[in-house]
Amino acid sequence: MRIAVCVRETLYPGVPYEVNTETGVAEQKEPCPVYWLPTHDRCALEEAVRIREALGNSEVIAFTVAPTRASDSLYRCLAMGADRVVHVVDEEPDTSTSRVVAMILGEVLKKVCCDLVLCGDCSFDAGACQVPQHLAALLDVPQVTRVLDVQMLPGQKRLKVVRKLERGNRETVECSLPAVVAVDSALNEPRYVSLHACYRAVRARGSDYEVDADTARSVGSEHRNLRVARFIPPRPPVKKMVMPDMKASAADRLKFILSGSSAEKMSDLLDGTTDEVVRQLIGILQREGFILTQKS
Amino acid sequence: MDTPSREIFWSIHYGWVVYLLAGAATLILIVAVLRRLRLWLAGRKDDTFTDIRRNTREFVRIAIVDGLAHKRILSDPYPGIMHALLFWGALLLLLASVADGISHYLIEFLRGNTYLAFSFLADLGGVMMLVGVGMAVYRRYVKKPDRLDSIASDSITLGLIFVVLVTGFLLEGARMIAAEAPAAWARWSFLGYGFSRAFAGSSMIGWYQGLWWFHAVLVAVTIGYVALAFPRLIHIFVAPLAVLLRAGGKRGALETIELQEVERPGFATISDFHFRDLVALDACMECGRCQEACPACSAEKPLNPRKVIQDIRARMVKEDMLLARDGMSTVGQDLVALHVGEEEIWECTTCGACRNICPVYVEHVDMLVGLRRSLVEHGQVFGSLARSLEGMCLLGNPWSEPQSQRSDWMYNLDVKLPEEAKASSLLYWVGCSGCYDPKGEEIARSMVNILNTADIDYFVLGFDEVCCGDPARRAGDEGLFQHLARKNIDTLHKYGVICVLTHCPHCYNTFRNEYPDLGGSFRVVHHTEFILQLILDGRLEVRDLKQRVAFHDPCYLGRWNGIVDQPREILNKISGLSLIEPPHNRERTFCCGGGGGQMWIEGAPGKRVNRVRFEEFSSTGIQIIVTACPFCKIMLDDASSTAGAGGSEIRVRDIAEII
Repeated sequence: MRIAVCVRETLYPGVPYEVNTETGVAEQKEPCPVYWLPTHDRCALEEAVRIREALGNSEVIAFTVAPTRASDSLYRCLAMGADRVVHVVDEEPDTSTSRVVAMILGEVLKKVCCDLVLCGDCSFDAGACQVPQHLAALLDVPQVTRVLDVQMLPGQKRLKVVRKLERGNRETVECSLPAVVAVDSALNEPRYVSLHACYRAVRARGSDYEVDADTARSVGSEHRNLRVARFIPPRPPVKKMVMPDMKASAADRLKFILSGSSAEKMSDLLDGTTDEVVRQLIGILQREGFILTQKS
Repeated sequence: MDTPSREIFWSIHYGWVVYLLAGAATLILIVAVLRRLRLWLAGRKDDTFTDIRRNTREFVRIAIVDGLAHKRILSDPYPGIMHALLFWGALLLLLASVADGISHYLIEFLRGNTYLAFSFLADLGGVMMLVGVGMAVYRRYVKKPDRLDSIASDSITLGLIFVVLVTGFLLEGARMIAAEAPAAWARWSFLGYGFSRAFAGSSMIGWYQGLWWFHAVLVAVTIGYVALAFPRLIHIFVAPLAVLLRAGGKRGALETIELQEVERPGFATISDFHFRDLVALDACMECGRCQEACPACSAEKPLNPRKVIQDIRARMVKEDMLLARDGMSTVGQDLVALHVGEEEIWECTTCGACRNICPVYVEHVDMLVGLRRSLVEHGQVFGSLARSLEGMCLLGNPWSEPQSQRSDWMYNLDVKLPEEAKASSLLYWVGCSGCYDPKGEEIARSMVNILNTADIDYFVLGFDEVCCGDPARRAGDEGLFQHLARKNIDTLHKYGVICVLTHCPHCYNTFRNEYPDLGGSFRVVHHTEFILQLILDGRLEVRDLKQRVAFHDPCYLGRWNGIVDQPREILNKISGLSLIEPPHNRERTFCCGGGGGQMWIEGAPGKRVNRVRFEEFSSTGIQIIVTACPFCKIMLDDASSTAGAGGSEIRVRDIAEII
């Protein structure tokens, strides 16, 4: 069985950034931009590796459509357990729409013949959630989105997956292979990759790293029509100020304002096993009126 | 028979058989130890023999202080005295046998008063051992402390020693009656004489001969038993070897791995352990001191250092049995870490209480970190810790805060950055906690105020600083540690830093003990040393503080680096302050629960270590806990603010904040 995993590195979300109002491109204020493989994509790769570990005799290939700088993330994929990575170099990612990315991926995937394509269901930056759908349409295979659980059915030609619906509802569907499966970040806990493992991949696994320099240029150029007309930054959130207690002394009030603290925080530490802690927490939430007790 | 003396093999026929017995028993023992040696040699041997040569002097020191004088062992009174009685008693008996042999075969010197002294000391040795055995039996089978696991071999060992001793004395008594030894000098062998009085009047020659052979055979059986069953008693032979291999080891530094050469760092299989680690596993006789000292264990967490060592040992023995049966090693089959238990491995705060108290110098922390390294290589990292490590990898600090906000703490403060202080070679290393954590920032700001007040020429790196790498190394990600460390060493070399001042004991330990391996040798000063020097030089005046204060020794300052007097001297300079010592202090401090990456591990079972420590403090009736480590401050402050509803009145301060 051959499993393809589509990944794309994005700017690390934990770092403050500003969006250029002219181009709509996010820019980080760090000394150099910090990129990472988003959780969704890592979950997809982790699931692929787990399927391979369970089935044996399978191959996991990671694909990306990204500029040359993304190579670090691809080596990370190798360290995580991908057998091979394919780097489709696209030096103008800001002009490509989801459609273009899907077309490029489709072109590459058609050559490889995969039994299962795993993607993260939503990118961390644009958040359009479209590539998997486009890709499935282009490959003419079924697609399932927001997947929380993947099970290979015996015989290996069918798949049973659990989908995430609104308000905690779940749906179990079966689909035939090949298929495109877009996974949710709650699917699994991706394994930790040490820096040493990444270096080792860089050192020793150059032969598993394929660069595809042409496909991005030849495919979908007519669809490269994404232009940001205008970008409106969000209004800064209203900052709540709590007035100091007027009964306190002037010095205390001054201290209060300077420290920026709100009123005396209520603190309590819940101790015990997970079960006990959860029970105590529910008790507090009910007492404070955050959740209502169900009346039968 | 005018001069007191004793004839060896008196009225014993075929006495030479005893040498056959002893020889056979010794041979079995040697074979057993050699066989074990083969197993130990499966471990890595790099540097072992150069280390032995280099460490001989230190070994001799330890052999005298901790071996003969029992310093470490006596730190725990009851078992300490028990062991000392057994050890010194056995030593006296051993010397007596040697003297006997010399006197019989070489130079006859055991005559007259020398003989009387000899027989008195030999009896004294026996009595000491008897008392020791009694204490051991009482402790093991009556008091039954938690830290002791009693197995069959313990009873057998104690029983054998007891019977050997008692038959020895009975034999002596029987000989006195049979040989009609004059009471004037038989009295010197006081216990044997006592027995002889009890049986006086009967002819004991038959008894004497029977007992003689029984005693001799039993001694041989005991040695054979020790060789074949490898009970805890084997530590007589293995412990000195383990100590020899450990002596002179670097304190506070974990092993630096040449990552270019090693495929998978960490102790994944038994053969990944060092030779010295494997010897130490066999030297462990499960005295349980580590278990009592361990903060995680005291907080009812699953980690138990004694069990960890025994688990690894069990794995080693199993490997040995497979080796013997199949003739091939099963190395590489599964992780030792899984045998020990992942949960246990991630509970360790690396505080070093266990290795510091271990009488046979087992390095629990090194082994646990080695196991962590193997887990990290297999992608198995405790969830919340994985996110912190990722933050360190991407952003250079375990708080996962952006590097661009690293200088935010300096707001409104006159801090000298490298551009302004070209001439200075003194760097104030702020560390991640000083830059990102509000409680750490307070320390950094106080420290800058102190430096400015004392008019010191210094500078701060600001954006060029990244984490020193301590949490990464202790969490087992050696690659990440070396990456960060090399980055820092390059930066420091670029600015021509000679001396590094820091308020964080973790940074201090890393800079002082671990960076030299990677090519970064700097003079490292902790702020307690620095502030004390400023006060002594009269460059800094201390405020008055009328409070009851206790000092919490940070593990990485007090235990790992031995800085315990400086902070106390500073506190004693503050007038009005009364210093109260908590039960665990100085080198025997109790961890705050924040070291070894524990700061970022959430939701572990059991009580919280910081709470256990805080309760210890609150029972002493103090008003302020002073510490010298941002991690300790954060952990103890957390415990203080969550103690009971609404928090406790006890405040937690860094030493820099109260000057």
